[in-house]
Amino acid sequence: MTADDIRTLYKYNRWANHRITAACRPLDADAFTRNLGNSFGSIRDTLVHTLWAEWIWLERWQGQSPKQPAVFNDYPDLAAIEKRWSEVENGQESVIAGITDASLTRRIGYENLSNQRWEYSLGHMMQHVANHSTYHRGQVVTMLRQLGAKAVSTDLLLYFDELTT
Amino acid sequence: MRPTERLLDQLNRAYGGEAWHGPALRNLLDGVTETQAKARPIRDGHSILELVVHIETWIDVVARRVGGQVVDANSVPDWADVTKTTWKGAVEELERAESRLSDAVARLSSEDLDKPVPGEKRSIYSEIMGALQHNVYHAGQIAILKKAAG
Repeated sequence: MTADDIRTLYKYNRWANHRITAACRPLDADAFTRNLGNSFGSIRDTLVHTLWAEWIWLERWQGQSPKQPAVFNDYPDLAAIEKRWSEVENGQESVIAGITDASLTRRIGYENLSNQRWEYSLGHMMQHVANHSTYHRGQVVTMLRQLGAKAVSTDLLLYFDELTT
Repeated sequence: MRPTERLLDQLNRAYGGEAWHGPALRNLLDGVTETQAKARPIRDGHSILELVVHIETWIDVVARRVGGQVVDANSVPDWADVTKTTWKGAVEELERAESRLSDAVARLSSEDLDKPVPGEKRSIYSEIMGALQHNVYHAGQIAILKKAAG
């Protein structure tokens, strides 16, 4: 992938995340935090996990190896998630503004939460994070249906359609 | 690694390889029984079988477009009737569609990726990335349905 491909992918990721959080806005506090028996239990926990992953990989892109796990109770409501996510998005934008086709091939090392050392190219890491968020957006949409709430489409081709209309 | 090789690597990881985001799509389907596939554990939600047929439908569309065909999205059954579809048959069709897509991508040159999809404004790269994201998105949903089906 080229630097422009990554920039497009992250504009899409931001658009899709915003559509998902907007779809969660009508939920009351009980529905938002209700354990639905999935990997991350509630919609709140799934969103926090997704946000946390975007943050920790943003740090890893920059050579850092934070060890803080996601703390779900730090986010009592959607507004708290959106506020933190906005900061992470701004950080992503700042890094992505400076990438080049060449810098995407640069290998970056980091330690995971278990202190194991890994090393991947920046481009590979960036693609991974976007895929991870997409995977969990699919789950949030299913959880919205579990709650009887209105789901929303976040398809990449819909994003392109919106850009051209 | 050439751009098409990187795309193939991403497609393969998301489909049946070593995915980073969570379980790969094909790996999630392992061990799913006919009964589980046809179950509808979430009211008004799709079954795993419906999702797999839906994924296969769009992988096939992308494979044909990448191969040079014009495919009108309005002519594609987004959510096909699966009442006569067996689970084994659906998985086999999915395997074949993924294989056709991989073959079509492997035949592309780097320059081809920037060309527009036949009959569309977006690039062939974007079309393939759309298929990748679509697979990953629905894999997340299948993981939930698989757990709910027990």
